[in-house]
Amino acid sequence: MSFVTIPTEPIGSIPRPLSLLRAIEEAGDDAAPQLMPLYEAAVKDTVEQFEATGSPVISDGEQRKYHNFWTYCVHGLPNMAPDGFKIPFAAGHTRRMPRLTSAPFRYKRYADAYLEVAQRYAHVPIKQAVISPSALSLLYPAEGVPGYTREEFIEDLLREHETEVRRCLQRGAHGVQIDFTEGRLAVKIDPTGELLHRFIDLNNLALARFSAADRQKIGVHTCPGGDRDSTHSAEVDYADLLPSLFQLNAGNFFVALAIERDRKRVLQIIQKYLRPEQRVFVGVIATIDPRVETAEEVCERVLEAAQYIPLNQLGTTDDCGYSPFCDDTSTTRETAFAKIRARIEGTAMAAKKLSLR
Amino acid sequence: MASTESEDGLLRSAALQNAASILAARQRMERELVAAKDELAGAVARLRATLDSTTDAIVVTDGDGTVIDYNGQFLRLWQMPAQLAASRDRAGIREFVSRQLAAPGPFLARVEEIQAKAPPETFDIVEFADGRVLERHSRVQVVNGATVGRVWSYRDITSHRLAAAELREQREWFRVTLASIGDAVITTDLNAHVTFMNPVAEQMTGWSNGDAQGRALEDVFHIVNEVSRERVDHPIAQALREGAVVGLANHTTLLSRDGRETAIEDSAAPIRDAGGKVTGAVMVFHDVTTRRRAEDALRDREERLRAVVHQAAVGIAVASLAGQFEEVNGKMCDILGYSEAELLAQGFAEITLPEDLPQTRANVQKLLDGKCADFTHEKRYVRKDGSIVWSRTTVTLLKDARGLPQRFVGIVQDITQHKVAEEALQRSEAQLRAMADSIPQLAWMAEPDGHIFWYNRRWFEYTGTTLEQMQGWGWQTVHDPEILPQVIERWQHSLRTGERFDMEFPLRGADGAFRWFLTRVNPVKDGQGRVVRWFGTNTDVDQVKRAEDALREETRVLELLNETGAAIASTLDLQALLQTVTDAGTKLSGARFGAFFYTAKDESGGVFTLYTLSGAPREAFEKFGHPRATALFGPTFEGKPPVRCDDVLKDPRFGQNAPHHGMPKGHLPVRSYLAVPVISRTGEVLGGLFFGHPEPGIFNARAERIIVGIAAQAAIAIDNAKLYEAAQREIAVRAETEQRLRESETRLRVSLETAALGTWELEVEKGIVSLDHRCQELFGLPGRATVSLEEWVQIGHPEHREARAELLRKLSDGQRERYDIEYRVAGTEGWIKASAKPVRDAQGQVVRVTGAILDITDLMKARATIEERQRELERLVTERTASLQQAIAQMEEFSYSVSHDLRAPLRAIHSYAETLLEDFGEKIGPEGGDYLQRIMKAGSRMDRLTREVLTYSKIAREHVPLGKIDLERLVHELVEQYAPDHQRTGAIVVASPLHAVIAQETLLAQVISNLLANALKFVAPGVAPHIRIWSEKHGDLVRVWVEDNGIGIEPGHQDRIWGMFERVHSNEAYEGTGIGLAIVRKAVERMGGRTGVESDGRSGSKFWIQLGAAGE
Repeated sequence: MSFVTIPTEPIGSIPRPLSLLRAIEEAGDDAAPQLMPLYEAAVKDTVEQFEATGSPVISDGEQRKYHNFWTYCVHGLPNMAPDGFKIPFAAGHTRRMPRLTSAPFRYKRYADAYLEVAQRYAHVPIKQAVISPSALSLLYPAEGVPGYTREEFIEDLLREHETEVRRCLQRGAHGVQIDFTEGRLAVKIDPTGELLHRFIDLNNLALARFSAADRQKIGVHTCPGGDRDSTHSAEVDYADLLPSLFQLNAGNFFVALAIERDRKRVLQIIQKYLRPEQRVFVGVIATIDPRVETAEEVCERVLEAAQYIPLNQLGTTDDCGYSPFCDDTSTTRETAFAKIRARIEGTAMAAKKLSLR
Repeated sequence: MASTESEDGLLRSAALQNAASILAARQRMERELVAAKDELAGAVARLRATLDSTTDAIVVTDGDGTVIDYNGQFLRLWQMPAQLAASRDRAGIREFVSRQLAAPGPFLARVEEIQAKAPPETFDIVEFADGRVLERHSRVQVVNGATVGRVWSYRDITSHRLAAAELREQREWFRVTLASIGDAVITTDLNAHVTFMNPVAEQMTGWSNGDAQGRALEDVFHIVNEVSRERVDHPIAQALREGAVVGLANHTTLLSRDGRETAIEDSAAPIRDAGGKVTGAVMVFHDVTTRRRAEDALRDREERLRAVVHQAAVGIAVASLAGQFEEVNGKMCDILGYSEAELLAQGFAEITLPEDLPQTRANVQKLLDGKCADFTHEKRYVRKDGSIVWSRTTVTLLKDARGLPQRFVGIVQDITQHKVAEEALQRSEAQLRAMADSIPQLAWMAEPDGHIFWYNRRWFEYTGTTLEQMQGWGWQTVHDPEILPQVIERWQHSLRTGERFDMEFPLRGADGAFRWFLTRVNPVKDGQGRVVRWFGTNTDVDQVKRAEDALREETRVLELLNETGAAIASTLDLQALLQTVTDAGTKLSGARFGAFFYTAKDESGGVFTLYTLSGAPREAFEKFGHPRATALFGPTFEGKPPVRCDDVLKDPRFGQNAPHHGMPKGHLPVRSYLAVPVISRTGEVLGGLFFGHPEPGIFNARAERIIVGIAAQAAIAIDNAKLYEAAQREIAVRAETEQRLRESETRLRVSLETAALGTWELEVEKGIVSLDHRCQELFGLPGRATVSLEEWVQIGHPEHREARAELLRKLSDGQRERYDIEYRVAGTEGWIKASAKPVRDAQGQVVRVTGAILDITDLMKARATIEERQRELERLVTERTASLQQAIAQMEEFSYSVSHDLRAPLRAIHSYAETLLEDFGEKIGPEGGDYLQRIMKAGSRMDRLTREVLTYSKIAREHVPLGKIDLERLVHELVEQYAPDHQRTGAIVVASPLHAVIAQETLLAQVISNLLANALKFVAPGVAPHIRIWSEKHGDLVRVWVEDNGIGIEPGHQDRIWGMFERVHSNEAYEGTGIGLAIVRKAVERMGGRTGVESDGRSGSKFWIQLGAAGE
């Protein structure tokens, strides 16, 4: 009998405490100095609650990612206008991106700053999520930026992304997860798949800057884009997306699966396209579903995935972050951690069953 | 804002444009990749060529130890077929290699170990079975920071190994040789770099051979001149330069690496090779420390001894047993004034003062007899110039090894100065004592521990003691036992701290009486500040002390007199008044008990007696009745001068009367007796004040004066009370009279209404008046029914007759229609009230006059009585007012004269003290001056007290007309007047507006300024005063607050501060009389108000006064 261990990791965000959200609202500025102790307290509490679930790998819950997972790195830059592209979500609401107004493109902050805070309190490894270059490429407006070509922008974008990932790795992140939720959006925008391929090219250009060993620590997360418990591209078929996704030269893939209507079909696609050096963490928790899964349910989903994916390439995760946008209060912290606990317990349960097999 | 569709379009457009750019970037990168691959291929080819051309055999293994690369030399060295090397067949290659080795087992084991532990670098030797020897070197291979395998290189060193073995053998031989010799050996190369050190050299230099090798010799071999400590060149340089043997300079010290010093000696020589060429140098040296140290020590000891003798601060001489000087030092020559040569020509006997010679000889003999090891005595020498020098000489006998005396050694110390000083000290102390004996103060001296060893004569004269009684701590017996503990505590403190002692306390004189002394003790200190002696004086300050006590006592008496005066002047109840007078008299005279017997006449002329007691219960007298007119009591009741006895038992007037012949049994014990009559202004004896005390000699003239004063006040007060009583009685009488009048009028009214009036009628034509029965009765005309008009007119009293006749005429003439008149009846006391009317005929002609009369005699009498009573009452009021005014005037005069009379001697004391200080200040000296200052200060204070008491008593009595006062204006004026500086700096804040109050301006000004002065005064040292004044209106009252940041008043003291002479703080801390707040309270009470204070005793006080509010 051999012991099977199935790695399990969160995606990233956890709803911020309501007290923090209220304080931000009162301050009118999410970077107001008086909020700093509250952010710090929120991170500390998140880490403690995460650890209490028995998670072997945790995140900082993205408590300090001002604004959201997409634009945190440019939020507050003077050369950003608020009237960028509108990202439509299924429930009818939209999120508007910022627009680059002048050269050069630089990050205002790198995600390793968040990692540093969480490390102060954590006793287990911490992963850090960063935004993909392809997502940020949409900052460049259709009409262009005077004196700053699209090519120059792409080059700056790649360098900034590389810097961010390296800083996280150097700071000792367990892994760096590139949030690539716009993959399905790309298919939606351009059903020919051309845009998706270019997004993958762009991300691969970024990944090519890292060694194979580094790439084993880099993962890519894709999902329909959860926000306020709705998605922007759930209608896009995974079949259109996944073959291209596994062309990304990353070591790990975090794929939303729990909300898929036909999980078997998706698993078959993954089975077909997953490369030997790649590990896929399948979503076993439907983060947009307010119901808390039982460990047994999770266990069932893992066992189902194990029928298609070799055990040494299988991991589990949540479908998505619990609160990718900071003002999203549709899921409570209690629910989030209860769901995470179900993931941990269900995955362990499945690993035990698989060991006995 | 664009529509959703167009926004989606824009997004698509931008995304696709991005896609194009990304594609371009990807293609560019692919091109770069191809170029990089080409470059890499070229680099790999170059590397391969390089590897193949090296003479070393190189082989590369991966992490598992599989051969993955090698060069041609590897194949040649191991004679390995290329197929095998390229086969990745680990086992095959190992087997092949093992066959060629001398010891394959260890080799393979080593390989396994290196693979397992993966050390960064290894080096070892591999021996082949065919005798070849290979150096093997390996290193981990790191690619991009990760260990991927190992690179091994092999080099054939067979020929090197053979040569090295031979060399090693030779070296060992030399090493053993050099290690076994006792001298240190260092060899160097041509550059003077160390090539070898033997163990002795290692030990001496502190360097190991290994550490020293290759170093410059001067780093290792550090030598200095042992005297100059300058660096000395090592001899090897010279040996190398000159090619010859060189000796080391003398007095060379080697400094080792760890700081040790070794004296060394030796030489250096060049080393030559077989061809005679100099190839280096050798240096041989050894340790000479021990030898040098012995030499140095001997020299040093000699020098020290010589120095001790010659530089000694005492004279030293060595003399033969015959006393002849054999050696003397410089100091000896100095002391005696001879040169060394002159002294050596003499013996000690020649220079000793002849008087001291016998003693010297005796001591020398004792020494020679072995009775002592040495002796020391003080003796005198005669100097060369004939002067005498005092010395302390110590003589020791020098003996040889067998213990036989050889010579004397004398140590001579010049103590002439010390002797002179000692004599001077003795003289000066004798002088001091003589002087101390002559001063008027008591004086004494004590050891540093307080033990008194000397008193001056005055001390013994005053205390009547002897030195034996007083010595040490015997002085305590002349102290007041109650004060002694404080004295001892203070004295112990001075002894502990060395501080000056300064205190006033009484000392008992030879006559047993205590007198107050100011005692000052000063420490006498030596140069180091240590107390060597205490010098104390006791100065008689009894007079001053008693004067101060007397002043205090007078103040108290004045206060009591004032209180008494005020109390009795305001008391109209006779019994209460008598009690007040009795209590005050008892208190002021110092009596144990007192009585006031008061004799008066009541309205009916009867005599009655009242009495009051103080200091004894009423029962103590009740059974004895009123004192009789005995020889002792009589004069007082007769208004004769006061009777004062120091002891009644010895008074001839005492005990002459039956039945008791003295005090009746059970009477309070009386020895001291004082009796003063109380006489009214009219000369009437009102009674007597009697005081007693069980001790004799209690009442002095002063007590008598005070009681006489009180008796005078009492007399006035009793008169007042009597007047008041009389007035009260009059008022009662008047009320009664009025009542009677009212009753009389009632009666009249009733008689008018019910009784028949008298009526009459005049027939104008006939001139006849008809009278009815009542008229006849009233006018005393019984039976006469008619009278003539003339007769009718005559009935009236002459004073009313004319008026009545005129009225009758006018009625008859028709000029009047009616008259009403009151008149007296002629010849009687009777009064008549009459009215009349005319009666006309048809033509209107007056034919008759009819009238009615009423007897009003009683009414008129009553009226007269009332008028009389009113006049009497007015007279009484006027009289009483005058009397009261006089009493008050007398009271004021009394207060004034007491204060004035008291102030006059005070001014005299002050001015004489001042004169004394100015004119005789130098003679009196600073201490006397200090006393005079104290007297003047006490006098000034007494003066101020007296003035304030006057103010107080004036406020207590003066008429206080109240009116509306603008408090705001008044306070501002006062602040400007009294504290302009504080007002300017904002120390005083007036919270305007202040409410107007009902008050009297002068009094209110006095109150506010007293409160301000206190607030400014009672602040902690160094604290700037801060005062706030505001007012609050509550209904028809206004409360004025004065808040300060001063030292505050403990809640326990807050009632006390309002009394006369009450002070919470010492006069030293805060100057004042203690009357200011008493004045405030009295003044405010006179203005119908109240006062108060709030304070927690720490952070300031809030004083308030409450007065009536003035309408706006």
